[in-house]
Amino acid sequence: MRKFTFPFWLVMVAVCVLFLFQVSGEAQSYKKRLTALEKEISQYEEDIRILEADWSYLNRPGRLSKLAARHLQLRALTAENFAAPEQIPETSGGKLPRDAVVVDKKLFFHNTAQLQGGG
Amino acid sequence: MFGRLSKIGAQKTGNERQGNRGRETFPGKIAPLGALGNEVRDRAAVVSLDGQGRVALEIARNRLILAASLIALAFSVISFRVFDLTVLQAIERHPVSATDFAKGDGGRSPRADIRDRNGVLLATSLPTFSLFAQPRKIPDAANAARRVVEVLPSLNKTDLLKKFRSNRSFVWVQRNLTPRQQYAVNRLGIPGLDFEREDRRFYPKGRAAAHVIGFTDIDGQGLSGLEKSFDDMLSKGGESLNLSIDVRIQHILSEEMQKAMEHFEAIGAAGLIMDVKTGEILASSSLPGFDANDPADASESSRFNRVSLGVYEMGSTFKALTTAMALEEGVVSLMDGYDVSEPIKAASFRIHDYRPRYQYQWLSVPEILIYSSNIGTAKMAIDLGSSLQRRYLADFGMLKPATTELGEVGRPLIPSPWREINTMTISYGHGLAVSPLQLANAFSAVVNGGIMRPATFLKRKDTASIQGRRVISESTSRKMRDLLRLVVLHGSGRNADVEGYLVGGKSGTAEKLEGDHYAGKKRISSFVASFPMNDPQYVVYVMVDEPKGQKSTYGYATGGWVAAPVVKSVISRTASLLGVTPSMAEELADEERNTMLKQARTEMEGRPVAYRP
Repeated sequence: MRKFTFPFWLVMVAVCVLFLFQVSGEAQSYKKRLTALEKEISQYEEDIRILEADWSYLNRPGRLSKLAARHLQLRALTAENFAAPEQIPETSGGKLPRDAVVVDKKLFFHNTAQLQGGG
Repeated sequence: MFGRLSKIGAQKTGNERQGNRGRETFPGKIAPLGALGNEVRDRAAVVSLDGQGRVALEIARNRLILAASLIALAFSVISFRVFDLTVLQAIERHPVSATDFAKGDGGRSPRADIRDRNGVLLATSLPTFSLFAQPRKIPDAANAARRVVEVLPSLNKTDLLKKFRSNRSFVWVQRNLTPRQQYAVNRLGIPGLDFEREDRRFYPKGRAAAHVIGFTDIDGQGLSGLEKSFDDMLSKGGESLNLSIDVRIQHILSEEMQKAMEHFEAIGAAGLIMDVKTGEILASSSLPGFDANDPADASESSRFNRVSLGVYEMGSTFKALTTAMALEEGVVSLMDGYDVSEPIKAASFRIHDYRPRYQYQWLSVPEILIYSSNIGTAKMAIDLGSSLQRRYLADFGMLKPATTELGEVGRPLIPSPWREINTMTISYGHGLAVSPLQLANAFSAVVNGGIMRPATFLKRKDTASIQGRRVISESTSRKMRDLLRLVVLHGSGRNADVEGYLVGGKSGTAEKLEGDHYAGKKRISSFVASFPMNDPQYVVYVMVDEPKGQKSTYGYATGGWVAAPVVKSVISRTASLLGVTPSMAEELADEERNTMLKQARTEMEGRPVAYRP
């Protein structure tokens, strides 16, 4: 039995050393990959920040109101555009067609038929 | 060889006592060795030593064992530690990451963003590259200077040449280059030129709330506004700073103020919108303004925050405070009044009313406010008394600079000593100079049920826990709401009324103080309003500096003509954004107030008047 103890431990040492280098190598390559990924993430985060700044710049209220005036047919909301809830017909089940408008505090819509069972 | 070592210290067996076939290396009997030593392995070989040899061997053996066990111990410690680091600790916490080094700027987080109450980006740090030179490394300074100027024409060639020829180890060439410029300079391939990544502060909304947000210097240190007040917090990076400002409301307020300023050829304007229940400031605009991206281009007057830093005599808007104080102390009731037929003569002063359309009569307390009578208000203040007036003004935050996050707050100008004449003039807003922020804050307390809450530029997350200080009672506040609504219905506030929103408020037209006298035509025209008056939610304040009468206003440039219309436009444009539902039954709400007014008027009839023509 004693004859085997020494070579046994020798082999064990060799195995451990091999294992150590193997693990170390793997860890290093993981670390490299991790650094590369984190750098990529950091770059993406920076790009996102730049894009967000750009978005905010493009959405300046002054610019938006000019564009809205040019391209949209919308007017400012005033008290005249609010009607009392009682004006909604009972038959509608609480739903209104999409083209319903309130002018002079009165509710207007075109197709009464749309009110039943959908809107 | 190994066979022999393993036998050291082993017991002798009988077989081996035979013969002396081994070589003699120690004194005493030696172990019999076979030709290859293997025969001897079959038996437990023995060495019996006597005396010194044995002792020496024992010592050597023990030392070896000791050394072996120490090494074994060391290795077991190491292997345990390896196990610990890789298995145990990895479970507990995040491994140290390489992120810090992955980021190009050496691991610093960028300066934190500033956003408005809806998350809209107001200030952010973007990466730029700054060009620097190491002159010692530049081989041909003249050539380098010439080529760099070709690519960056804004630079001065002689200065650049001087820099490149100098013996310094580091010198900035130009900071914050655009990506295109950086690419072009890089292409030149001049040794000794290099780039450093620097974050630069960018304000996407330009002029909006520029005074509030402030700006930074080239190194990212806050120089004014909230950039300065929160410099420490912002430099650490991380979560953005959320302001109470709503950039849409801000834009609308600024736009309307700008229109009025241009129409009345004024030199400046200030305005703010405040939430009366939380003290949050939704908009704060000082004109002329500036673009935070280019603060150096702006004049000092543009960068001056008229809302918080400027102090002005407010004029008649103060009458709202005086009336509130007098009602609270019970000095007067809504059914009381004063004789306003004759000016007050005190010291060398004469206090008279601006436009006495109600001559030869008494005015009730509501009417004094509606018609903005200086005489009536001064008499009310006399009955209240100096010390009470001072106490209430202190409670309303008028006697100290405003407490808010902005560093730029003006110190009120207070008369010293505070004589009876001062009490009278202060009652209608002359003799005491405060900032628009202070006035709006006090007005908030008057209409919100009587609680003074400090104005804040930060978004309040938890509105339930806001601390306030009670200045007047709930019932006095209700009375004031009615009076202020009547001012808009019947008085100088008519131009501020917006259908459906029950606007209440008070105008102010104060002659500006120049040196020791009042400059006739130079005024501060303002209007302070709140809506909806049945349950006030917001205060809107607008002030125009030195408006000039126009044809459209029949030459008038008073608060009611200049500032009230701005308040009207602002309220009609922002009310739905602010989530205020218009009242469907405005007339009903006003009926009670009108009845009260009629009653108060009747009380005044038949009273003896000081002066009759």
